[in-house]
Amino acid sequence: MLDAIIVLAVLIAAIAALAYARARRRPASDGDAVIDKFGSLSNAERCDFIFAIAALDDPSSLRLLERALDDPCEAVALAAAHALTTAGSTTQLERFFAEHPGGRTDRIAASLELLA
Amino acid sequence: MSVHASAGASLAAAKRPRVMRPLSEVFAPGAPTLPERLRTLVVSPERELEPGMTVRATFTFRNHGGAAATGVRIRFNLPDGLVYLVGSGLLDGSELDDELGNSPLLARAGAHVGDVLPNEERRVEIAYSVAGAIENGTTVELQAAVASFELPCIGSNVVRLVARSKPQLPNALTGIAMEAARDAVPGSQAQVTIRIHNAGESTARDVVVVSPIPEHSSYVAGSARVNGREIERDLGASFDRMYAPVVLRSLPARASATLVYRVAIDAPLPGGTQIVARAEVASQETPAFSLEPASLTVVSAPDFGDERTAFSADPAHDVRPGQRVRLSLAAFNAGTAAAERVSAQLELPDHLIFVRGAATIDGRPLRERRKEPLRFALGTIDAGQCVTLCAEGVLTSPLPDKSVVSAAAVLDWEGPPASSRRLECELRVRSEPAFPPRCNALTRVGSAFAVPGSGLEAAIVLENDGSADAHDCVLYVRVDPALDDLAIFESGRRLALAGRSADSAPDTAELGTIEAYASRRLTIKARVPSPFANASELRIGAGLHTRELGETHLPYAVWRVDSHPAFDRDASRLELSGQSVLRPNQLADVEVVVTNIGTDTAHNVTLRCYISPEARLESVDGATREKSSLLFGELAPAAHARARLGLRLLRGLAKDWPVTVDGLITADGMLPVPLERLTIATSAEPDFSTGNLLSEPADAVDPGETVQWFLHVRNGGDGTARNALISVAAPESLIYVPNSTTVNDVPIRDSGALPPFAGARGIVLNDVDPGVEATIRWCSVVHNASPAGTSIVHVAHIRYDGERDDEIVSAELRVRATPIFANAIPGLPFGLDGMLGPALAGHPLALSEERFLQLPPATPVGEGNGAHPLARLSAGRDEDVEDAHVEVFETTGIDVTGTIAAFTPERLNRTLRLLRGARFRGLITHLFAVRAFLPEGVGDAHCSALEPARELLREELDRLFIKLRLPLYVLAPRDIETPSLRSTLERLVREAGAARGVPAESPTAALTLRGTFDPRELRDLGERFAQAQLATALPWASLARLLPDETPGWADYRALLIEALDGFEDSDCNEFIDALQHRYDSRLDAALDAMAASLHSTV
Repeated sequence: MLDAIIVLAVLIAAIAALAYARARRRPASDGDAVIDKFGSLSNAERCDFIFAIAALDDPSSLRLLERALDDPCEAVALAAAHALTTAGSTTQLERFFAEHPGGRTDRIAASLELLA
Repeated sequence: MSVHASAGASLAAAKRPRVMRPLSEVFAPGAPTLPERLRTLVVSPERELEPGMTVRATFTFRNHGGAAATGVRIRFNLPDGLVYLVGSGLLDGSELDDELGNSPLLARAGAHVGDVLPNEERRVEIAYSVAGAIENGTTVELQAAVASFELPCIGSNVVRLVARSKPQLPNALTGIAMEAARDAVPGSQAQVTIRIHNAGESTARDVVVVSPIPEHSSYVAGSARVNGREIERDLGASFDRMYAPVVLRSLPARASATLVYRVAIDAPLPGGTQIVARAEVASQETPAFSLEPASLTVVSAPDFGDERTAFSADPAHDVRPGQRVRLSLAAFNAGTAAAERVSAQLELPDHLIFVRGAATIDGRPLRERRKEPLRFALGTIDAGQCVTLCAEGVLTSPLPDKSVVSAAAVLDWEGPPASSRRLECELRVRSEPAFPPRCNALTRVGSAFAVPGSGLEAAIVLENDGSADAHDCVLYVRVDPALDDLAIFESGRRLALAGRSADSAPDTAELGTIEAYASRRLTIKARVPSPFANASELRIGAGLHTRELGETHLPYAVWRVDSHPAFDRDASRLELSGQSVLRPNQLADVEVVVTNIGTDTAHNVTLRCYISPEARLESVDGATREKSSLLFGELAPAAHARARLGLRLLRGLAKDWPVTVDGLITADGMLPVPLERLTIATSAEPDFSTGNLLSEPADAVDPGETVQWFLHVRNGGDGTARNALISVAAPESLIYVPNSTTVNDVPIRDSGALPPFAGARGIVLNDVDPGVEATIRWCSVVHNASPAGTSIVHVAHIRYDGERDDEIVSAELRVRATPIFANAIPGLPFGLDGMLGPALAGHPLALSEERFLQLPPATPVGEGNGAHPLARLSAGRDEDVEDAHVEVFETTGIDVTGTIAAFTPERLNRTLRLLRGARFRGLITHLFAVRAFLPEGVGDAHCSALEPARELLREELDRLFIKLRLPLYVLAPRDIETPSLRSTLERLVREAGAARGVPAESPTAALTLRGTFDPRELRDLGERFAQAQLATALPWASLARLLPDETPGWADYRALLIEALDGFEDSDCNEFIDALQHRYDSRLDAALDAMAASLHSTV
């Protein structure tokens, strides 16, 4: 059981690393393909994916994080917002909050304040 | 002779074989005559005949045989020159002609006369008429022939007649004529026709015509023709060179011949000259006779009517105004007579100015005349001569393009007849407007420097220097797109502007027509937008488009923009928001507004803040802070930047000492601008109202018992007390123990016999900062005579700042007195009347070398006296903790290591919020507590793994926090276990196990949480750490031991947490993961709540 979990963790890490590598390698025009692939992941996998690219500061990763702010899953959006905050890209985040007022945005902002 | 010939012929016929020819074959052309067998043909006349004469012939024959001759037929011949007279053929007196007048006697078959009986005679008669024209000497032979069935054809005798005739040339039809083809003008040709008619009966031979060439004319070579046939070839010489040539070899009777030749009339010839043609005709038969002469009258006059007389201009096309035009009048006398006194009069229009002195006739200049300069005498011009008059004119300007200027010349001459002719020529003008650069320009008005927001003005001068009007003039303005409010004025009137296309800016103005040599003055105005970049170049150009010339460009007017950023004290300011009075240790929000009122972007905008030393700049929001400067970066014109400064007023500020904030705005390329000083009023007041006065014992005391008094005074205000006078009134029931007074355990000498606080001024404390606490302790002895139940109350007065007087009253201390009769006192070898008294409070402590000592750090006042219940605010080394540490070591023999977690108020708030938000139904809540209270210092040495561990824990648990918000999310070991976190925590536990001592106090922390742990325990856990997963309890149990335990509440929570985690010592990761998510421990949670509540009260 433990081995299986480790293998699964390694697999997810490999997927994240691969996604990261492809995101780095691909030109900006391939960003949509990565985003499409991102959309096919489960909620937890999307969270892991965002955690994996959180430390990246390349444009495609930032675009993906911005896109993930509008993710149907609020936890995924929270992960993206947290990643953007950690990366210092608060301008995009504030713009998103300004453009999407409502309860969901308030909850994300409150959670971010908790984690600050 | 005819007889002999006839006889000879008969002989020849006799000798020849007899050929019998039928009657139809005799008298055939070319056939020989028949032998003369019957000599009964009689002809009248017998010898000669003349034209028109009638010839009668009678033929008689008889049947001399014995039988009847049947089928008898008779035939006569018809010789040339004779014509049968109709109705003259008779047989025995009977006509033989048929109904058409044809006589059978002349037919091929002959006339059938029927049978002729023997001896029967028949008589046949016929008459001929001699033709009108028969050549003289012609022989006519007549013969008759008879035949029957029984007899061959027999010929009669042949009668031969000789014709006599002659020609007749002089007659009415013979004559001469002369006529011209059109008019008999000199030089033209005329034709001479000589007609010769032979009115006689015979041919005229060798007809000769003598026709000399008429005077004033000349023979046209080769023109002589006779009946249309050229004769000079037969003559062998030119017709005019032969005097009497034979023009005809024969001219038959009744025939005509025509001799024609042409002559050219000499030119010139005076009008009316007669040209007479004469001729004589003769032939061999006719002597020469003259014909009636024929004549022509010559018509002649001068003539200037053909195209050789012309009036022309050079050039005639595309003549430009101002250009010289050469006028030429060619007078050519195309007539046949000379023109006398010929003169020419030029008629020039107003637009063509005659150039005097330039006229010539046949290239020769004329004498200058003042009178009638346009009239020129050309003299006599003979026929065929030409005189050329040349003059020059200059075309005036202006003139419309394609206009036509007509000039005329009138040519007059005298006869015959006198006449004149008017000739005209046209000049087609090529004229166009012109806008030369020397008088068309666009010039800048005013300075070459443009200030944003100001207007630009340029003057346009359009002058049509051409010779024609300029039509459809449109002024195109090319302005920098950045310019605003473009307008064009003319004579103070604003012109309407339109765009070149639907989507272009309006930049064209219709100017209509600019007449020749007229000028238009326009003014272009535009406004420089503000802001605008400095040193930019602004250009205004223009072009004039006309229908004739297309586009004419005008030079550009150029301005250089003089633009700078600017700040002033009105638009840029420092403002205090919120409260108007700043109190110590409070944050004041200062709004900074920096507005670029200039016209260019300000780069590296920096606000240098000079803040009074009493205040500290703590936070900056909205700008980048660099020490005391705020960096705003670039600031566009008219833009403003706002920043919020958080100023904290430091403690120790004197009362009413305002805080000043000075700002100085600097930016690239501009002078520093000092802002108006912001003065923040401060209010700092000391407050000693929250002190207490305690006694020990607290409630009851026996007489003679020593009572220790503790006066805790604390400056609970926010200002420094310059002087605080503490005086305590001693009740009579108490006896002061001399020299027992200490201030913060520092002995204070008594004031004479009185305690120091009972002197005139009492104990005077100087410069007591806010929060500083002083404890005055002294001892007194309850008066032995105090009866039981005596209430002892101490009252302390604290006067400070001159006007405040706070009173601190101690709790009531009652004297407890009991009767005692024995006098045996333990310890004494003798009895003693009296009572066992209290020992003295101790040896008086000597003062240190210095007279005045710095008060020790403040200590918290006791609970219930307004101070914080649990937390301690400490600003220096906490001796109590060290004491506790030493105490633990001394009492238990366990060497412990201290931890410290320092919190600012903000961090404490965040931590509490996190703990409230991270409440899950499971032990994982307490992992967040571990993350929140993990210390910053362990032991007295630097713990290098501590900070990375805090960061990694924070990162990992933040992720857990997010993931746990996923619906139905199940934790997995991989959510906790990461290699970096594992190695860092392992190192932390190892370093903590090796740590000794107590960490130093954080100088900036407002709240410190301290704890202690047994390093041996940590070392033991650290040894097992390597084999444990992070998803098991052991790592977290190790970290839990680093949590604070200074207060009972904290210690309680830490103990419960360690106990709970140690309970999973033997559990695997799955069990621990399950507990993290589902194990609910109410006691542990309550302890955490209590700890959080205690911390919350300190906020």
